[in-house]
Amino acid sequence: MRTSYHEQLAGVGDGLIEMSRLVGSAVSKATTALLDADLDAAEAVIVADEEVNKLYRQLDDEAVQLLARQQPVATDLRAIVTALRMSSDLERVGDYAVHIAKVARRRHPATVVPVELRATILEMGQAATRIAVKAGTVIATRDLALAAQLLADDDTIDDLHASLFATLLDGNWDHGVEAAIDVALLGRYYERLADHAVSVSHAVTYLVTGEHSDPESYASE
Amino acid sequence: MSKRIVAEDVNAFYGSFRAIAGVSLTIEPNTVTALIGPSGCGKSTFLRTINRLHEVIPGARVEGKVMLDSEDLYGAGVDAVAVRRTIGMVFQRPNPFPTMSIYDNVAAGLRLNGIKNSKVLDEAVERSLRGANLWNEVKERLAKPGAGLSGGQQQRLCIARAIAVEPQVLLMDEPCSALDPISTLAIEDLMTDLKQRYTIVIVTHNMQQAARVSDRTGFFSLEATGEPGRLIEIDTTEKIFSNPSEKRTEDYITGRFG
Amino acid sequence: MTASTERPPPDLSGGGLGATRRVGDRVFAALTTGAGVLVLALIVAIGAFLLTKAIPAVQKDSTNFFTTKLWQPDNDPSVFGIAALVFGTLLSSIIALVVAGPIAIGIALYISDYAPRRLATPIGYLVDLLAAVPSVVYGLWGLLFLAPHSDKFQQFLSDHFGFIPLFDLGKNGVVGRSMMIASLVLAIMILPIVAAISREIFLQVPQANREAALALGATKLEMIRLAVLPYSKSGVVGALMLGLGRALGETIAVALVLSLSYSTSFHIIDANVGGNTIAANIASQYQAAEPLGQRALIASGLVLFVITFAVNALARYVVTRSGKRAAAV
Repeated sequence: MRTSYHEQLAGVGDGLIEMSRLVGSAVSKATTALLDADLDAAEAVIVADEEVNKLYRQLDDEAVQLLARQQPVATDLRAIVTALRMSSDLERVGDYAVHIAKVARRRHPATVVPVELRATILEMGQAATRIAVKAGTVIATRDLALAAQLLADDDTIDDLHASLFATLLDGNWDHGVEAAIDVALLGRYYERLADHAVSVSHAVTYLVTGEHSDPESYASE
Repeated sequence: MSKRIVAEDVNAFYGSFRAIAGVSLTIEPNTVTALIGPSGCGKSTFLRTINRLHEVIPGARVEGKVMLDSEDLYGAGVDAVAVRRTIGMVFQRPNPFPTMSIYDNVAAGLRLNGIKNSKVLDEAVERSLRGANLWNEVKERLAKPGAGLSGGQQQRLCIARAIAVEPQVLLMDEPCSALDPISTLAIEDLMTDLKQRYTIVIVTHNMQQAARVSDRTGFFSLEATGEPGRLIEIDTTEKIFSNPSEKRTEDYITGRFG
Repeated sequence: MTASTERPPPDLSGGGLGATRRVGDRVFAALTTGAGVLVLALIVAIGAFLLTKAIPAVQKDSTNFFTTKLWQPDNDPSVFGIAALVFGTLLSSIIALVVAGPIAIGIALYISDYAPRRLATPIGYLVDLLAAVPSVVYGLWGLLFLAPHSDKFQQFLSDHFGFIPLFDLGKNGVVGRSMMIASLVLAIMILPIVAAISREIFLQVPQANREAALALGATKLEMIRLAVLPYSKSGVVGALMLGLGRALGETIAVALVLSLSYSTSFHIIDANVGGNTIAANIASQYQAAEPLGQRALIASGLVLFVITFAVNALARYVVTRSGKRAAAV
């Protein structure tokens, strides 16, 4: 019964997974552009974000139509409401990837990241990519244990972010103000990006349980 | 095979009382168009002008044109009975002929058209019952009376009866209002199938049903009691339910009036 | 804090006002039961009366009560039988039904489906008015107007359709106050009851079924065949049987119109042949009858009672079944 409705609902879910795939790849590519001073990669990320924005607007329209026409209730209703939130979060993740790519483009051909921080930024970039991809998996599988894991990954990025600031403020910084600002901003972008992924995790927890509980309470032992 | 309906300035009267005024709209083939509006606003009356059933009531008459493709159904020399043979109707309360079997009910329209060959009738009855999603439930008891079925099944029987004669257009006057929610959903799913072969117009006082089932929605209303009903707005269902053009439409569908 | 505004708890003991109501209920129930019992008692009393008077008479009959045509109970030996009477009763009633039935159904259909709304109710009243005319008036009208004025018509039937035994005058036959005229008068008398009940039955056909037929593209006649008639079949049969019941028991009109005899002939337009019915026989013979003759008439009355009772019971059953089936839909 109501096959076309259920298909449309599934379509929204598929759209979110596609979005998460796109932004995950954007984060990865932006990190590469950053560390390798690759202008082409940076441009590619910036252009690809248009695709993400288009998908975002389309998903919103579809969700609103479903609300207007199909009177979803229970899990279906939570699915659509959280889809509206998650699409917004994923779109922001995409935007942060663009910010990162723009920093790389701005400083080209010079590398933005000083040598001693390369490892940290690389780790942050990998963690961020991992977290973005994991968000997509959580949306697809609605696996609460995985959603809890995501929070742990976010803690990792927060720690890295903290260590970044420690390096900036330990008194041995000798790369100049511009570099310091760049690094601070980059750290911020990665940290914010991960926070939005955590929002996705919260949304999925709400979707599955119907309560605003902490995803960590569903972490597997 | 299904046709486009164009209404031009349709007015319908009960004696001297004008029930609907100046209704003009187009209904594209193979679509579901829902007509919504508060009670007494003339949507059922308009529906019955399409198959010329309105004029059966003593003292009732219709002014204006209703075009089926290029033919004016109210043109000079057009036989109302012939019009009703090409337009099927399903009513609010399921009304299978109580003294007839399921088979005879579905075959009634065909027999009216003079078809007597039992093989032809058998095929048509099976085709119609399949089309109405009722075949599997009744194929073992076609000779049993039609009145022995549940409400939802009876309504599907009436749908089978209507489509047996392969009409161009199928009119449905609040077909689910006497049914339980599951039967209602079953018939809504059926409409999605049926629109591939027929043009469907459905009157419903259930807005959510109009939102779920139709491609286009028309909103009827009246200014005050005693005034004739009018078509306020007709547009794609998406537009009507997310951003209607008329304030009256928005007030109605959000429940601020009516 | 304000004074307590609570109401006292309700009195559930049944005293006070409740008690008066209870008594009223019981009195009313007793009265209605009494009325029902009274009706039952009447029927039993009448039945018993008929039986106790009739049985000795039949015992005194020297010939078979059921096969003898003659009616001479006061003779010695007593010779009487109801053969001719039952034959005439059934023949006249059936002819009346055959003539009145279709016309009554036609009138009923006209009122329910064809007449303009404003005409329908007055026509219904007129038909009901026919039922209010007293039977003796029908009898006089049949005797003094219909019989003489239909001579030409009956002659026409004999001349052109004489090959059918019904309309055969034979050598000695003459037109006049024949079985056919009596049956026609009966037909007019039962027309209103059949028409009125049929009209109610037709009006009860759900409008939804009519609309369904029309929406399929049926003409008015087809709609009536599809939706009205099948639904009404049992009810109309019941109406016909009630009309038949009335015709079976009609007394004065037949006694006045028919030239009474004790023949069992199918030559219905022959006034020389005439005929008789149980009821007409009672009316015509009672004045001159002696005690045994009276008892013989009562015996014939008992037979009529049984016939009419059976027909009415059957009619009730058929009408109820039609109602039950309508309710099930």
